[in-house]
Amino acid sequence: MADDVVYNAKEILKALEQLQPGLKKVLVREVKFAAKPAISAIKDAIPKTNPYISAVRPVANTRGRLGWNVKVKADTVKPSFKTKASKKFAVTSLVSIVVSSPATALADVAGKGSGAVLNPVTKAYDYKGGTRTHRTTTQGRKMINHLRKKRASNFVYPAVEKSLPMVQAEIKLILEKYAAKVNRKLN
Amino acid sequence: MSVIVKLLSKFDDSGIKKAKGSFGGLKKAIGAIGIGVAISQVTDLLMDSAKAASADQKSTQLLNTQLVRNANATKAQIKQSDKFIEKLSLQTGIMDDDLRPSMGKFVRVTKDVNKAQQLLTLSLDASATTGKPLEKVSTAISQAFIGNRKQLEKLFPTLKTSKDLFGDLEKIVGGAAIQQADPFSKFNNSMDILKEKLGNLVLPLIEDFVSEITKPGGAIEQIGRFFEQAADPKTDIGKAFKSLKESIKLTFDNLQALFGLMDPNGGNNPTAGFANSLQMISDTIGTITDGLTVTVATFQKIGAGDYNGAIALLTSDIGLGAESVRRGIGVQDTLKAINAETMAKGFGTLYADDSSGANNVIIGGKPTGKLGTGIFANGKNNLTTTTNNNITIQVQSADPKAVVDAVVKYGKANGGLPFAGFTSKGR
Repeated sequence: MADDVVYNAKEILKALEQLQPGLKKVLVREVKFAAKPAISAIKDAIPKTNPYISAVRPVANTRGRLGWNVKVKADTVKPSFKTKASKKFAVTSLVSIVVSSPATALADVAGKGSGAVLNPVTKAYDYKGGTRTHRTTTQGRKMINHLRKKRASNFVYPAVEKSLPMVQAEIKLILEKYAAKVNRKLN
Repeated sequence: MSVIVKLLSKFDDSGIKKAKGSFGGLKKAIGAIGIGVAISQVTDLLMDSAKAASADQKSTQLLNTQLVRNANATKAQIKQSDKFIEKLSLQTGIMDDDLRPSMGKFVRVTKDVNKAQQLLTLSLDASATTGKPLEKVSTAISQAFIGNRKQLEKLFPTLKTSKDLFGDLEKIVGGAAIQQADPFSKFNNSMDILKEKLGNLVLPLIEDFVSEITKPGGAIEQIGRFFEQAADPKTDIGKAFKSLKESIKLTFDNLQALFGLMDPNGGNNPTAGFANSLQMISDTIGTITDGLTVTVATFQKIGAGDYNGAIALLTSDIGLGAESVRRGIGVQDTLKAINAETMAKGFGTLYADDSSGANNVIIGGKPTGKLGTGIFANGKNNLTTTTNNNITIQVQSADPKAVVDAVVKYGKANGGLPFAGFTSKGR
């Protein structure tokens, strides 16, 4: 979704810090502040109650990683600013918004795949002193159907679709403002 | 699992370059141990190893001096220190040449080998944790050891309130260097150490060789003295060189003059003279082979009882006789055939009938100058004709009347000449 690519982000930040120690922190703070409208929009779009509760699974998962509000709150949305280079990709995200709860992420992507079952039979697992396998159940399919029916999936991107171009432009302006400061100093 | 909404991207391929560099290093290291390498690469490896060993020896010597001067280290301690550095280098993947200066720094501060080793290990861990260069971290730690904690506290702000500075630092960073050691660096480092060890074997040989050739009266001095003498015309070698140089020049001048004399145009041109001399040699060889051909053929004819044929060959011109042998027909038939061909072409040799006592005539183009044939057979006449209605007759110490008679006779026998007039040149 992000089309704009900054080519010398690391150099700008390094030069900023040399120009005035602490300026980098100010820039990051400003960028994160600019992303707030998008963050609020995503937070608002995240279901307030556990969307997984259904007739198939009436009891909430309260222990697992995918439990709603378990360990990580479902509406945890944070801005991220990363300048570290990747060993795999030359183009990586500089500024992004991260929805960190696995349960929220799972609900968001539910139904986005083809729906095809990867393995019709599970891997062997321990059972009563031995091992056994079983056919892949339809529980996942039912969960997806439930979330889709409840309109509790695919909510993150639609929430920011409208505000995203403006936020992107604002962040770009902030970077340009600081880049100009560096250039003025260099010239 | 998380959902990430990208707002802005950046381009930075430094991480990829770094990863590529690590693999490049692996390739280099494999190349260095000589897998499938040619002899030249093996020799390169030996020379590299010797260089590495030389640098390593220098660095070791420097540290050992520091150990002795500052910590009164014994030989056993020095040996143990060397082993410690090598072990640490293998464990952390950091070059021993980088470790020794830091070790030297700590020895100067602590005046104790064991304490210096502890601080070096600590500084490696701190360097790995902070990502700062070892040199910077070791300076900070050595400064902290003598009471100046400022640099170290800047690197580790939590140490500001610490009462046991190095103990707390150990708790924060302990073991980080070995944990974070890059496997490729470790591998490359191991290879470098192997190279140094190989170099330690090669280096004494090189040292012996160098000391042998550079000793007083050695190869370098002797060769240098020879060149000095060769450049000095007062010495015997210098005189010989000068004489040789003059001889070469004189020989060249003489050859030029000689070839100039051979210029057929009398222009004293050495190039033309050289070409003329080559032509003469070629013609001489041709004449000799013609003579041999005629002689052998004559003997064959005598052996076969063909006395008339043998006599005809013996009395004929050598070139004509040889041509008749080559064509496998009689001398008279060959003469008629050649003359007919010459008339048809407009140039060549017109052979005179020997019974008439006349000389041969060459017509058309440049004179062949062929010795022993045609008018050169008696070595007296040189006649040249051209096809552009001009005839040049060159007469050299011969009877011009005989030449003119031959031409007139040919004209009568063949119904005239293929050209209109005559010009006479030279004497």
